[in-house]
Amino acid sequence: MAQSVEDPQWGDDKSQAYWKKSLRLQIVLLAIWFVVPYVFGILLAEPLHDVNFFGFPLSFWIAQNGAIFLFVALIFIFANRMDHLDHEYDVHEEDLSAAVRDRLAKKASKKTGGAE
Amino acid sequence: MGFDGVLAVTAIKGWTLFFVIVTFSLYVYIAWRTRVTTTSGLYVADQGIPAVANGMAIGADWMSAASFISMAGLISFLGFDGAIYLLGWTGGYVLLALMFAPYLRKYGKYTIPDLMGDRYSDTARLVAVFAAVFVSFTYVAGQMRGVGIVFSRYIGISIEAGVVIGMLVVLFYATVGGMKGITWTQVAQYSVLIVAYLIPAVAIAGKLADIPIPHVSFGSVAKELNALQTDFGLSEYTTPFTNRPIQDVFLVTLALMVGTAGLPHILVRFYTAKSVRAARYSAGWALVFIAALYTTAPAVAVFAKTNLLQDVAKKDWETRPEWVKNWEKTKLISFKDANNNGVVDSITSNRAKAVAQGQNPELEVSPDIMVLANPEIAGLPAPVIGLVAAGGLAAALSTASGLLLVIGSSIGHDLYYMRLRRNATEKQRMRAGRLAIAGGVVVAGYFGVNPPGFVAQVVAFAFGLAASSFFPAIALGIFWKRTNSAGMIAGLVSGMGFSAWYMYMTLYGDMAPWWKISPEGIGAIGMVIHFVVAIVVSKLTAPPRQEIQDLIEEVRRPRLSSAAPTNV
Repeated sequence: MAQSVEDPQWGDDKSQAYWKKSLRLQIVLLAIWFVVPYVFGILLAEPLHDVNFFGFPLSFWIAQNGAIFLFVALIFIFANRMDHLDHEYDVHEEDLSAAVRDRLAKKASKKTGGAE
Repeated sequence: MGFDGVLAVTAIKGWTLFFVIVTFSLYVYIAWRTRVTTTSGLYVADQGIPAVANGMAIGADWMSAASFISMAGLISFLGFDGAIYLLGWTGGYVLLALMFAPYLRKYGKYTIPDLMGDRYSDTARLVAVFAAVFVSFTYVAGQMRGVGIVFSRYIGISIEAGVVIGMLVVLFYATVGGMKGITWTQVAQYSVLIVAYLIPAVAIAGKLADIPIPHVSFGSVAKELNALQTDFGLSEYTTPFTNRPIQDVFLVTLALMVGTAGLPHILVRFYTAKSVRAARYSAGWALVFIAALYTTAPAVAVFAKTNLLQDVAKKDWETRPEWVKNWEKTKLISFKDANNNGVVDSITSNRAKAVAQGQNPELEVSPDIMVLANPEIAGLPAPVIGLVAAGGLAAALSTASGLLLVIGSSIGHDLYYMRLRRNATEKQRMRAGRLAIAGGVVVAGYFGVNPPGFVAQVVAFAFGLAASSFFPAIALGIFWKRTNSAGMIAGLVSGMGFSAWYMYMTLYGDMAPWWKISPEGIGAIGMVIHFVVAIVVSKLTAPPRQEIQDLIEEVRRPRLSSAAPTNV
């Protein structure tokens, strides 16, 4: 079970780089997760109540509907970005289907200017 | 009640019976088709559930009788501040998806106490068993009660008989089908409950606004409602912090979100996904399915409150509409004419509380009515009312079964197998798991017949305690390798102990709340205490063993980078 750490394909550097990138993504998404409902929906609810958003008071809409849509989006953005990251670091699982793998590989090669 | 009334009631009873029999047979059939023979099937559905189905099962697991029946009504009396439930019971899924789901799935054992045992120590496993069982029982009692209430209201049998019928059905499909059966049953239950919720919502939106899409039209209706409320001497519906102060809204929302991410019956669902990737997407799909109800509920709240005020506020009580008369019989609406003018002058959702605060409201309306009476208010036919009853039952049963499985696995796996009989055969372990689930059903049924105190308060307890126990313990366990067993236990005891103490003192001990923080919100503070104490104590004591640190490295990646995927 502990063999993974000594896995020669996976040096400490690479493992740390993968973890750091995934942490950075989590921090950015969690910051959005916090700011929208807590700052715009609650702390600034009174000033934003006077802002009209398609017939809704803005803070009321964020607190009762908008933030929930945002939560859904954040999770799918995370899952999608992690697909890329897993592929980039070759730690993806079998169920990352061949079609998705091809698409990710194409994107990756485009980013590096087709050098690979 | 005239002859038409009798006919209508008979038709509603008939349709309710029809939908109950059809849906219950379906649940039992699914459990039989997916019956399990291994502990892996019994506890984690062989870790083979695809993301969309797993998400749907989580949605059904999550949305209880309270979400289905009571939430919209509660919001309609809270106005803006109802956001505590809407945000609090959805935002936790972002925490689950980003911070827990992939790592729990990679770890991939049976229970949350397993994780606590492997990551920290055997003492931590025992503490986790206790916490998981306690949290699950407080939660399940309300579900069984909910089943009994729906049965008695729509079919006219006693609440006790309704609880027993619910117990028998859950007993069968949870013990025969295990987690696998429960998961696929929940997929069916989700479908029933969401259809039952959306049909009346769309019909009412069409009745009150030009566009029959609740999410779009409730903005303009809310403006009408603001005016209605002001005329009636209430504060504007959409104005924030009229019912709870700002700091309390903030903390209750946070405690509910973090508590969501610490509830064992939700956490365990990420073990059942078929891969790490599927676990991440499961959380996303779960929230899609939950949001379908949770983004509609605030619209239903606005529509129902508008209907109610239009129909009764400042009106002569004698001219009240038929639906009000129908619900009066259930005593969920009651009128006391304080000034004997025959007109409804004031309204409350809780007369006892209002009287205690020195008010004397004339009309009391239970929040539960708001959803249940919707089909009648919108003039929908009897089959829809029967479907709503079946939806309420689906919501209660699906949540109850998920909780009972946690109770069963904590006792059958973590206590019996891991602590008492390490040499038990697979057959003995299966029998222990099934017996533990059956025992859980009996205890839950007992609490359903004799509900302990005020059930809503007990559920608030469950969230606050989960927020200050499991959430910080698992988060530190994954994200900070240095956390050790001593730190975690010290953090858990102080954080959860503080929350429990504050809840007890403010609810039963006559202590004035600090800075107007309600007992539902204290879990957020308890969580901070847990984090701080756990970090300080861990720093002062020895780091965890190398193999534990290796385990953490391992769960952080979906697969080893070398060619073959290994079995952990």
